[in-house]
Amino acid sequence: MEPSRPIPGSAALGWVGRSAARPKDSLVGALQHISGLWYLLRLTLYYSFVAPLVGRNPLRKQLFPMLSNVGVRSFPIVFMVSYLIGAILVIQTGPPLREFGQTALIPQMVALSMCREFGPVMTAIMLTARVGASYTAVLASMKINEEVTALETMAIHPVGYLVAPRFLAMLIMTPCLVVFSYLIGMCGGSMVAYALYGIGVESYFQATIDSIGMADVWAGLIKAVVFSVLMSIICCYYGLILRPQDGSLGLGRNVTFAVVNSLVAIILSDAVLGAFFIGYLL
Amino acid sequence: MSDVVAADNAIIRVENLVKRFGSVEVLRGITFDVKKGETLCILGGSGGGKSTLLNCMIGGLAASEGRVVIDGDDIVGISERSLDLVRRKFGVMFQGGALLNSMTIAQNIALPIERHTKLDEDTIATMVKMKLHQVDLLHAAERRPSAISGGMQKRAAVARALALDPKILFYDEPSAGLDPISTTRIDHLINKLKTTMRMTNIVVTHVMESVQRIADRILMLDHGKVILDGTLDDLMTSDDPRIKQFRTGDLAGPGGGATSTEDYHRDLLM
Repeated sequence: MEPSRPIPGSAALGWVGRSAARPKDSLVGALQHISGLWYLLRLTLYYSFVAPLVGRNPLRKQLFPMLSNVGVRSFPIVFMVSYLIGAILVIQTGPPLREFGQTALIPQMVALSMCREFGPVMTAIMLTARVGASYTAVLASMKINEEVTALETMAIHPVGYLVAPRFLAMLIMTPCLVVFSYLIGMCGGSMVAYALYGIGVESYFQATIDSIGMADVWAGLIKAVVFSVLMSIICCYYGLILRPQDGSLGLGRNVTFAVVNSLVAIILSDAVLGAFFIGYLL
Repeated sequence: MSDVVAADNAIIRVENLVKRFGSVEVLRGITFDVKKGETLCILGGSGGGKSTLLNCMIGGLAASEGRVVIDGDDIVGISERSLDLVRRKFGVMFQGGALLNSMTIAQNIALPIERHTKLDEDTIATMVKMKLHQVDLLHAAERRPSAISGGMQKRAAVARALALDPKILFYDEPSAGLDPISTTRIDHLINKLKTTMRMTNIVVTHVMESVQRIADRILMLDHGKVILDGTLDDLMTSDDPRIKQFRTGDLAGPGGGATSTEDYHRDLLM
């Protein structure tokens, strides 16, 4: 069943938007935003996983361009950042490890850092900046141009048509990019470890394989899934709550809110998940 | 969905419609009917409630009180899913066209057909060509909305509104921002749809030339109330100072606009 709608269609989003325009009661405003985000998440889950199965929201046409946008076009930036993070990890931690004669631990240190922390977090940050901001800007400009209202009058639900494919694209491609980030980060670490400490590439990767387990890989992937949900929902939400009369000023403000709140949500959930994994998974 | 039997051949019935935003009452008990195949022009000055009324009629805004019956279905208080079924009975042309910028004109028109029918791609492509032909835009099928003129965008928006062969078309300020020739072309299109398809047209406008070309009936709003429900002759011969001022465009009158010398001096000194 489609989630019950406390406030129908754009009126729901407009309601939250109006609350956002009254900052005098920030606690009430924050709770309204959280309630709006939760409502959007429920609708998105319905239109992503239930509605397509009953033929109410065919996604094929919109999904593939989105997958390309989120995945393929993010490839270069994730490659560059992950490679550099791997390299920087070795540059920064190599000297103290050498002081204690522990340079052999460099591959393990890089692998664990990339899998548990830097891979998912840096990928999520890159995706928020590159894809999430564009989600907000595109949806907000569609609100200004009445395109979202036009979809509603054509009996096409904006969440099903606009949010669900963006959500699914992020959900599918973020874990793929995170795995890619693991590998590239380790390559970056290996190159610097070879150049500065003479650790051979083969022995570096053998030490990497010996030092990480599947639990470490899963920890990063679970984080990737959580981050992708947070990024896509927060960024789409801030696009959809824009009122046409807010204009370009409101668009800029909402893109800023979307990016800042996504990053805060990513770091907060990273801390919570990190503590949870250390306690139960790792 | 509650079925309501409309009297005579009324396809739309609005009864005691009230819309409030907080404590501000924008629509104050609006009542009127629209007959099948009729072109109704909704007139009024800025802030008179025209756009709010249109939004209430297309389900974009929930009415605070009253009823809006579209082809037998009361849409006030209706569930979202039932409203979606009613929405397939009408099309809407928005002021700016509201075409999806990421798609070509043909893809825009195909969208509602793809989403609401199980027709194959070839059939949909043929239907799209038919709709484009109706609005004389076949040559612009593969162009994006940003690459065509404002008038063409509005005609493309009409083609998209026609995609599911609705019984009713709503137009929000179809002449806004258009040159006189494009305005005439849109007006002729509205008349053509009425005569060839027996389309019921509801046009929100404030362009008097357009009203004279297309209106069968006129509904004039002022401060959320109906001040005229009649024909073009009624509009042209009315002695109501508010209607008279709208008709002539004078600055002096109940609609305001002119500032007396005394008021000007008082404003400066206050």
